[in-house]
Amino acid sequence: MNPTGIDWTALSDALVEIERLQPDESGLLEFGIERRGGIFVEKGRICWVAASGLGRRLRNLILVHSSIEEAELERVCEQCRIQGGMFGQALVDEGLLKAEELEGALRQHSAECLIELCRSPLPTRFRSHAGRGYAPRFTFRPVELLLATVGSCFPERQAEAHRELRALAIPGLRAAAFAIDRESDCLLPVVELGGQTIDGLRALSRWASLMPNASLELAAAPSFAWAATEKGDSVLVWWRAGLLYAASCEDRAGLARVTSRHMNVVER
Amino acid sequence: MSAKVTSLDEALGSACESVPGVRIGALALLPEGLLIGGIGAGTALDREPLVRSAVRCLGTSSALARTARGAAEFVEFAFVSEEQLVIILRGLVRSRLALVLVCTRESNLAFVLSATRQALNVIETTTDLAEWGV
Repeated sequence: MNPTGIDWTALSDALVEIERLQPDESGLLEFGIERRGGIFVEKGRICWVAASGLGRRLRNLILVHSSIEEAELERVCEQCRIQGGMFGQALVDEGLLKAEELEGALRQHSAECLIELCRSPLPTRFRSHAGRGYAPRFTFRPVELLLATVGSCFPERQAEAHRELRALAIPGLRAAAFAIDRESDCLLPVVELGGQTIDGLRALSRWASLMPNASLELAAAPSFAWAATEKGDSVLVWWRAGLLYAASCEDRAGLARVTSRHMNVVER
Repeated sequence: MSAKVTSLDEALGSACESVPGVRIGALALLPEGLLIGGIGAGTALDREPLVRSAVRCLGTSSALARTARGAAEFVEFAFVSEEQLVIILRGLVRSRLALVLVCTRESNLAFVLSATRQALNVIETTTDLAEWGV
């Protein structure tokens, strides 16, 4: 996906709106007065994103994510259209598609629809869902979809960030990798560790951006920075391969391990 | 520079003797970013970037909010580059004071940090800064 022309603030604001719903809330977050699309929410999790013009996109993605034949896919689609079923789940139920293949296609479909909905700022309105829920098998946390959306625009950066953060599997560590959107000059999370919310990632990005700003006056650009409060809480920030990383941990030993690892890498 | 500043330079030099690998350093007042003491080679102009860094780090609010522990301002910074370590600390006793030290990269970060804290504590508790309103 091309990252140009996306209003990342509007996109993350919409997802934060869902994140702040009550955990048992279901409904639809509508975009635009003319209903350009929306995000379907089931018990605080996103089960489907729809955008006008992308109605058939999921079929294409399923063909890309699996080895199913197009004719077979069309047959199940038609069957579901007549019977009113969900064709993705029907494909899985019939053994034509693996659950993880459908999940991957759904995630990418949702990401692409979100991008389409956030090409320009649109008013949003949440309407609670009354009665029977959507009962989907695959749902996503808002933060998962934010990462999937950013990842679809920066796939190589996301893969690199996964490698970097996987090596930091320390209990209690909250970390994130951010790509920089050159158009808006804002930090976009591509990978996170520690099960954080979008609000949590926004706080980390504020501290992450603080460090480069703070070091602007120094003669040599730092590749690693550490900051601590008088209560002893610390944040680590480092640059690698065009990504900005930020980490915090209640456990000082955990932060010391991350620092030590980074210092060793620098020394090599 | 006044004689008073020279004595602050000496006090700073003495307090930072135990910090490993110090190249240059600056003692500044926040939030104005006023250089009141320095150590190492160079002139006040060479230390000016250190003071501006201290103001960027400590002169504006950048609170770290933790739900369990409440929000708190950052008071210590360390920047690591290929050739140097830069430590920026805010005074714990006199919060308008900031100490910035540039050390060689070979020095151990933990040792440098710990020694810099001690140095700032010595300056805060033993140096007369009344003339600066601190």
